[in-house]
Amino acid sequence: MNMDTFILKGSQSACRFIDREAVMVNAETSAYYSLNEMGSFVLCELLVSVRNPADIVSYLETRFGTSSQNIAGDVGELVAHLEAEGLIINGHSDLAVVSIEGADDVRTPTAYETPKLERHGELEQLILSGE
Amino acid sequence: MNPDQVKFIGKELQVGLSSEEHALYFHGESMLPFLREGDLLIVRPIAFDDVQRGDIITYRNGDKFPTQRVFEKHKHLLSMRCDNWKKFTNDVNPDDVLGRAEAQCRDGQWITMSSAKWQRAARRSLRRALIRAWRRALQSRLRSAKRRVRL
Repeated sequence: MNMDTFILKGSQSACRFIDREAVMVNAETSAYYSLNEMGSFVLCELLVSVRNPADIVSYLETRFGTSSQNIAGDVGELVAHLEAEGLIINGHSDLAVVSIEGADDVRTPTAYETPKLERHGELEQLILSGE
Repeated sequence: MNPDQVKFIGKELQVGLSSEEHALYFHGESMLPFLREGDLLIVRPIAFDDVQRGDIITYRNGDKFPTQRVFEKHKHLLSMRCDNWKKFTNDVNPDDVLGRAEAQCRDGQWITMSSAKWQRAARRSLRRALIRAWRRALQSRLRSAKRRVRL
């Protein structure tokens, strides 16, 4: 088992990609988040392609030629942030969600930027109506 | 993506994450008597192929999340109705379906869609809607017949 792979945190978190950017929700805290394009790419590689952070760093390093220290630090920080917010956990890739809406459209960004997760606030209880 | 879009998508994701601890609030009288103001619902994501007549479906419509009963299922469309409204129907595309209501809580009591009460409500609602549709069709035929006689 590769312990460097990550999965969405069970029924607690959900994710969707829209226009190559990810939106995430943590049901426990009702917090909602977005990731920039690079962050969304890293997330997609983690969850959908089931690649470990080291492989992602190596790929980005080859692709952008930025110093590996920066990329490794940035990716490590993003993964730690996602874990700290209860959105992903270290887990067996067999349990991974194999398809996430919009993931097919995610591509490697054209230029390197620091991958970021932004917390926007908390969602109120959702109201449904027949009308 | 602007903050409003992020929030809206967050709400859509919230539908699929509903649970006993994080249930969704039902508002209004349109689904009486089965659903009433303040009922809590658990809605689970569902594939379009698995949707059946009588199911209560939550779908996206602008910035709202209507929750109504499937009156008819076509190949690429659902005809939705409110239990408490006589004429209102709404057509929904498969892409807009967010989930199916699978449990309801009123006054602390949960029932699921497999319960007899839930099934009975679905059958009753579909029967009423069918009778209304037949009645309307019959009235329309009578009107045309009367017009022909006058001519």
